[in-house]
Amino acid sequence: MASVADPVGPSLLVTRLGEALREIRKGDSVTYLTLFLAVVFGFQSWLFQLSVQLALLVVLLAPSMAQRPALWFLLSMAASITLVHERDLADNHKYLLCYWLWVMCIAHIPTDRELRDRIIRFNARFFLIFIFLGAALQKFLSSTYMTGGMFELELLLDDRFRAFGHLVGIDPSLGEENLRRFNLLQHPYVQVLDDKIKLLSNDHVHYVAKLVTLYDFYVQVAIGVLLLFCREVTDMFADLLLLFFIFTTYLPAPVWGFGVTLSVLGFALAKERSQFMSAAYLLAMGAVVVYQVPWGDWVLGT
Amino acid sequence: MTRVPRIVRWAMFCTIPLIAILIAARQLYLHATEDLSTWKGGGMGMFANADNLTRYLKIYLVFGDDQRHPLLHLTDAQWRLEDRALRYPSESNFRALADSIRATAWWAGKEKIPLNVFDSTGQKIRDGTGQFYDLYPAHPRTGPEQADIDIEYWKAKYDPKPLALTGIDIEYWKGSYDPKTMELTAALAQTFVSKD
Repeated sequence: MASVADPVGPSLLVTRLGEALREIRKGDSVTYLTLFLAVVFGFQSWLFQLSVQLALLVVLLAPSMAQRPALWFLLSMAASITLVHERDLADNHKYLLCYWLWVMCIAHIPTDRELRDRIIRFNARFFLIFIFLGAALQKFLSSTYMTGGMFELELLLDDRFRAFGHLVGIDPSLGEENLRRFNLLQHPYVQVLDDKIKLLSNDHVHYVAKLVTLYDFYVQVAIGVLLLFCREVTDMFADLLLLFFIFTTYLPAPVWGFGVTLSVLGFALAKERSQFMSAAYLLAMGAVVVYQVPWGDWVLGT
Repeated sequence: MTRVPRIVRWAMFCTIPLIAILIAARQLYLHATEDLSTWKGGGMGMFANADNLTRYLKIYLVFGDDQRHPLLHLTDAQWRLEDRALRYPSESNFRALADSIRATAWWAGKEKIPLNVFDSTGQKIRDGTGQFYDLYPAHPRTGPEQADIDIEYWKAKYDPKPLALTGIDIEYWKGSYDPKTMELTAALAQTFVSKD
């Protein structure tokens, strides 16, 4: 047995981790990771919850069932029915989850494993391009995004960004006072002169908002464009940027389901190609799950 | 390796991406024509717009005396309809909210609430002229009764006659922020009027 002091210990650990990772890459890991995604970050409707819990039970008892298109058809249908019912209220990442469940269903129809992997890889690439270039297009067309006004408002009014704002030097009391003023503006028993409020902001907030805007926009454009080339070297840069995006974005932005979905797509694309990137995507997935700790409360001391 | 016909193979690769593109096109169209939020509807435009923060509704019950009483408290189902109308301010979503409000009997609180006037820094300037009852959802309306406010209290304190609900006004407001002046200005984008 290797002890802590044993010089062979760390290298043995690395070797074993490498072997474990190779097994994960050779196996049907995308399938299981998608099931994890659906169970933990799926739709909240009773229909979907019932379906996904039954699916999990079946797969735990008979793991080979995860390769059956019928199982994925059940989940895809439950997701689609929920989505149609909530079509104007469902967040964009719920649409993405639904698409990905259908990809799993279709990919498991052929018995040929190579074809299945190709379908998964093709769709993973497509959806990463679709998400990032679609988001960039909407941001470019938006009247408030490119000016930095959108992120400035998020920093000044959105509770979810208060802890992040505090970390980068924005006084949380600004947000509290701004929210009080905004609540007055929308309160039906209150009349605010000229329907206008002055928000408390400063040069530092402007600067942070501008920086976040530029980072968010250009990283998304770069990921989408790099993936379009389908070349090993551009894919490698896209992987690095996507990993950077996942690790940094989903700490302040509490859309963890989206973060895990991006990690699954990235892993699906990289698993055949790179041991290092595969490990990094799995790590990113774990990081997004860990980001759910109430660190914002700790930072703000609430 | 089983041979899969070319058309089937093509369908396996491209069906879901094509559906995703069509849904995104619908979202872009509805965003342009009916102000569907960029955060919703499958267009992948999250964080493209601050409309998750700056949209709000003001809802009023209109009675026979033509006075509009603000509605602040809704049932859980009505809050969901309100949220839906905010994200997708279409006529059908406003109508669904108005119909639900119409199908509810409302009780008035004991005190009237003054309409106070504030300045842009959130400081109270003065009491406004209007005073309104705080209205609470009581129960679903069951009969053809016209009066919606807690009649016993209303009769004793305000008006001997039952007040007939004549309409519901839903105001859809949008705020726009100017980083240079740091002012957030709200504008009434649309008023949905539902009359009896």
